[in-house]
Amino acid sequence: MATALRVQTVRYGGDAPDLLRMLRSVAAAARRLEAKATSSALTVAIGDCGAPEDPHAVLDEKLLTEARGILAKADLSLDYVAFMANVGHGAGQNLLAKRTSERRRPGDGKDVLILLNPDTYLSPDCLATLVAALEPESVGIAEARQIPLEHPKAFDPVTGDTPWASGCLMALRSSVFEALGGFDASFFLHGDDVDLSWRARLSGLRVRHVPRAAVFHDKRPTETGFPPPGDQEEFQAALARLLLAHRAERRDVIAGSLNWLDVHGSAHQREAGREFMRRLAEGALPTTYREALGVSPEAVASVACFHEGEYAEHRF
Amino acid sequence: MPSTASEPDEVAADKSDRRGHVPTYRFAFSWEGPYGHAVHLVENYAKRGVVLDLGCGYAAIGEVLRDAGWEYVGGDRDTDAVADVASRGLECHVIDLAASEGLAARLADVLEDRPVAAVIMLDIIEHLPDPTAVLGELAELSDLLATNGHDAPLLVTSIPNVAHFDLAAKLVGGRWDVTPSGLLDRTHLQLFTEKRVNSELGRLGWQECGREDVLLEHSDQWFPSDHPYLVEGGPVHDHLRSLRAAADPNMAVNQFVRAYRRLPSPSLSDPHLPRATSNAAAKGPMIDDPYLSVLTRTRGTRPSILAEALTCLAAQTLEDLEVIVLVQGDDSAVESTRGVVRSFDDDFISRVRVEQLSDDSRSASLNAGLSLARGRYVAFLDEDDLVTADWAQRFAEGAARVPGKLVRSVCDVRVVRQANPDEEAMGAAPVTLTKPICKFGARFDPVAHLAVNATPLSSFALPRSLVTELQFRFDEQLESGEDWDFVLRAALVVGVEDTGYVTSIHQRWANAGGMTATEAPGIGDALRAEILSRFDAAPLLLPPGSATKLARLSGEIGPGRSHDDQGTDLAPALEGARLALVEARETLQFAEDRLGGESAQIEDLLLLIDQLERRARQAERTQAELLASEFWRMTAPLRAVVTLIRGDRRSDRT
Repeated sequence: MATALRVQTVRYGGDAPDLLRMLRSVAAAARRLEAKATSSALTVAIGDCGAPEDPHAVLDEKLLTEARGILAKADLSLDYVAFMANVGHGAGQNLLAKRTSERRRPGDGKDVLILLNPDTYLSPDCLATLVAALEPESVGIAEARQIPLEHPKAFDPVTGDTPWASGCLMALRSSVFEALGGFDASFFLHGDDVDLSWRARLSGLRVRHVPRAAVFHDKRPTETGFPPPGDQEEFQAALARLLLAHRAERRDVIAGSLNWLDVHGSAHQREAGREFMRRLAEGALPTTYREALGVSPEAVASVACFHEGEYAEHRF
Repeated sequence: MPSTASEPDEVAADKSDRRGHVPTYRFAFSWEGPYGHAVHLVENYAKRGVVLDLGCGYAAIGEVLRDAGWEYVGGDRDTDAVADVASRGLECHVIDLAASEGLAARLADVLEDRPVAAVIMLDIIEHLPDPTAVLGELAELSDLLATNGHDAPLLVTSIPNVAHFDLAAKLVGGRWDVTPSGLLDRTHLQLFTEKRVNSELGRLGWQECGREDVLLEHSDQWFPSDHPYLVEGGPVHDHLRSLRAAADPNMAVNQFVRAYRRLPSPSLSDPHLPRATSNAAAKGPMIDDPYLSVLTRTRGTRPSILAEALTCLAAQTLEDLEVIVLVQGDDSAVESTRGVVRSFDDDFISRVRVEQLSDDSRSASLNAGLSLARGRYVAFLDEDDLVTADWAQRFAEGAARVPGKLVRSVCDVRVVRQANPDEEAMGAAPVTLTKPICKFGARFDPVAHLAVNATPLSSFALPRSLVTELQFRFDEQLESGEDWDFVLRAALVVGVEDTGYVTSIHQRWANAGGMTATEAPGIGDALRAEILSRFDAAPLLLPPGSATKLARLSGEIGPGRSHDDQGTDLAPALEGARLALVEARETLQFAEDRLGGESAQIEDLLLLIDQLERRARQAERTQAELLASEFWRMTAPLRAVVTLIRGDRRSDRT
């Protein structure tokens, strides 16, 4: 049965040449798909959040024409949406995915969503390998291996099972994405992938790391090994940790994190703590996993891992 | 006799001719000089007939050629000299080469349809106002003779080399000694290096067929003999000589004595038409040449590993680059490699070339790549290594700051291993064991580099001018460490511009199964001694700042350094220790697996490694306490997290 493929990316700033390079890699990788669907079923969707300086600074027509030209070579069509606001990563992906489900016709076969960061370049076999890794059906999400800086979280080298999949490049069936309700939009940038992965696992699905599917992610190491976080990243990462801990009902993690933010946190990190407390007071926090999915506390505890400031054990 | 620096410079003063016209020299014939060498060339390459000696002066060569059976015809504009030659029973005509127009026709008149074996011009061309015009007329004469059914004549020229070492070394010191005769004869209107000789004759269709250059270790310019740059064994003299020896083989050539023949070719019908020289590379980069050439070596046996390296290159923000994939393997390896390249996007494919190497030794393959490269700069990325998106861009930025320097970024190291067969998820992907570890300093230190290489192959870009101007190559005598040797040699000539960015990650394979031919075996003591002995053989030119470093190495003075300096020294040492621990642990676990975990000794060793790791962390904390610089205050929150986490980890274990 044919596989309808939709590659989705949410753009927020970044250089035009970088975006075009990414699209070229998608086009080349799409050509390598073994079971190629009809041209209309292969789509690249770009959700445009504008740029940090201006949410209305969307991609211009010249660039879009070039993008269409690149994709057309591999029979890919472009579905471009200017959000005219910075809606955030998760919400942006949800909006893009919704457009697919509206267009889908019965009998279209297996629909696969590829969620991708714009600052990436796919290795040629990446898509084909990822899509193949979605078999058997128990696999909910398949995640690519990032190069040159590999993500350190643990995975099982035999099965590939991993605690969560990075939103840098993940593949999942549209039906899975819909059943999970997509990303939780209360995560703006960080942690939405962890949250989605945990919900998939709480629903009995596997999350699989696919080392053979390499994706270049434009991360640049420093002398200490890890890229330093930006201000916005610090804020979002700290907030995401609190939100995840809240959903998992880990009061100890919330208390520990808030305490740490007070003592050691930067201004942006402390602001994240205040934002969490504000949402708590307003009742604007997401529901807990138990409530949302009707799962046992034991199930949540077995999935939601808060290990040394991370959401999985790290290999190095 | 050459004068010395303490004497007045008599040689330079010209007393013989104050009217400004070219004197006619009466040089004696000698077999060791240009005349003798020219006669050899005529004997070896010319057919029978007239030898036309243009600018013959008093025809020192006339009798020698006549006695050897040639029909000698001289030509000079000095009527006294012509009369003198004629009085000796030799044919001689008044011919003024300075009036070049119609020269071919005038010469044809003199020759009266006799076959011409050779036209010779010995130490004449440099006196001409327009050598190109004269050489063009001679080309026309050659064609004319051919049209009339004669063989094309040999052209033999002797031209002084203005790039003789004596002259060049003195010029570096600001000295240019014009003399009554010799290399810098005051009447020379033209100055020639080998490149100009080749280009002037080559573009008029004169093709070299023989050479017998006159070599003089000490030319007439070897004065004053105690000039500081002419002192044999003096570091500057020896250094200049070693640089020059690498650049071209002509430093001791006094005169280029060479024979040419004009090949009858339809494309050369118009001798005045300039044609492209074959030596296009010497002209420098062409407009459409890429900025950076990337050389990638592969065995063609690990397509997925190669694909990852190429993925990194395809993702470069600097797109003005070419990638040359050098395949060390057979035709099937080449085909497999082409297959990998074809799987990329068309835009990237158009910038990639795949070349098969005939000699696959480490240095030879790199040198083959250097010959194929067209970029202004050349960088290397072996298939095992990975680079960040700004790898090429940082090189370009560094090169833009100081064009011509070696540009160096920082290379991190991480340890990987090949997957075991039961690790089904891995496929051919490497199992990563460590985070990227910063082993090498952000700044190039030439003194430290003498002991150990801190600039792996993927972390520098070299200006291709080193290859084109100084014939820089990787040393094919070295079995390993050729990159170390190369970087150091290049750095000591052009210096290093550090970008300060970490842009590449070298993957060290922990288990031997992953070892590849492109990965350097360890640098052993013997190899280190070998490389050092090469540097010992010539003077070393060290950059500013080296004096203090060397003085400290002597141990006579203390370090006198700031905490910052100590910190930057300590950090790589600590990381290095950690890397060693990880490797040791991996090796032991490997061994343990094989022994089925029966050896108690291995368990003891693993425990020891645990202890060492804890000590490394302690050392790191102590180091942090030492440092109270601005940097450490600024990064306090980040370190707090690290300390917190480490604290947790420690309490977990105890």
